[in-house]
Amino acid sequence: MAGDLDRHSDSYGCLALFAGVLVLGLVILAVVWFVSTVGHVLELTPTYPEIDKHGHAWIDARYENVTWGYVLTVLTLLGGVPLSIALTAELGRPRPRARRAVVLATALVVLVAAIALAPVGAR
Amino acid sequence: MRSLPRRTVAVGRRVIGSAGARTYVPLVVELVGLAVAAVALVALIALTLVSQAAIALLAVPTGAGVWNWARRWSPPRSQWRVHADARRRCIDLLDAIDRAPHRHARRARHDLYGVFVERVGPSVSVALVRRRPGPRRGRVERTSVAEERCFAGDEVEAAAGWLAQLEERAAAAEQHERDRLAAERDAAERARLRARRAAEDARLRTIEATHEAELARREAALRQEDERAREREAQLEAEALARALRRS
Repeated sequence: MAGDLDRHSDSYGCLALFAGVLVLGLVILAVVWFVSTVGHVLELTPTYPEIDKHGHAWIDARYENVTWGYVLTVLTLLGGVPLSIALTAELGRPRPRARRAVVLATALVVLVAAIALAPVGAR
Repeated sequence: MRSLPRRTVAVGRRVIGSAGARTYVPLVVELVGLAVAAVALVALIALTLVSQAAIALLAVPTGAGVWNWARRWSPPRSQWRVHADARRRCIDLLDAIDRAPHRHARRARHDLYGVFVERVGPSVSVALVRRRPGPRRGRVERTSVAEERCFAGDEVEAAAGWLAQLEERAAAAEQHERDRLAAERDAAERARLRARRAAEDARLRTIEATHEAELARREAALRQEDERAREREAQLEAEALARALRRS
């Protein structure tokens, strides 16, 4: 009886591990898919289907500095969007604080300039 | 001919410093700024659509800012009058103090007083206003009404009497403030001189004590030397006596 119980608990553990790995993989896939889509909209990275279907040479022929493209996309998502929301809230106040607005706007302009001018993305 | 530029400069200064110019020029500048911001917003939206989607990160806050700013001017015609009246009142309030007949210095370190006359509906308000010392920015916020009386339109004599009384009081209050500051400055100066004199006395006392100690040290050294010389003399005398005794 004890051996049966052990066997059952082992199989449940393996199943849980498998499910965990599967969920983790799906999450990673979703994140990569989402970041690639946003990067593609910003003309910085290929889309996930493009990465999936084509090889390294195809991507290199059409996009330059793909790694930096992903870095800029992540910066945009984690830094640019919150900064933009904060600046929108600041400028929507009845009496915006000039210093804070200038600091936020400067950071955003630098990020947008980097995205627009850096040698990254579609060739 | 030589006085012409000076006269021109004086006229220019008078025009620039006039209440009308100070009321309306900033409002026109603000409207021009709003128009420029609106054009910049349109340009940013066009760039977002045509060139680079990341520009939306700037276009959205710019849109919020322009919308917020434009609301201040909506509807433009009536808001223009409201802003102009409010600005004119601020300028008159500042001028009541800055251009008072008893004015000495505009940026004094004490409270400044003036008399502010304002039309309130059918009556006239005559008020004693006071401004606390501080930087140029925020002068209006620091100005407060200390005492106020309203007169009906036909109470000209009473209003003129109250106005004259307030002007005298404003001048006296400022004179009192200046005297108080001067007294404080004098007291501070006296305290500083006293402190300096005490420090000098202490320094001289220290020098004197050092000299006394040096003199005492030298006296002691001389006394010791005399003692040693006397001992040597006595020893020589004793030796000479001993030698004489041995010879005899």
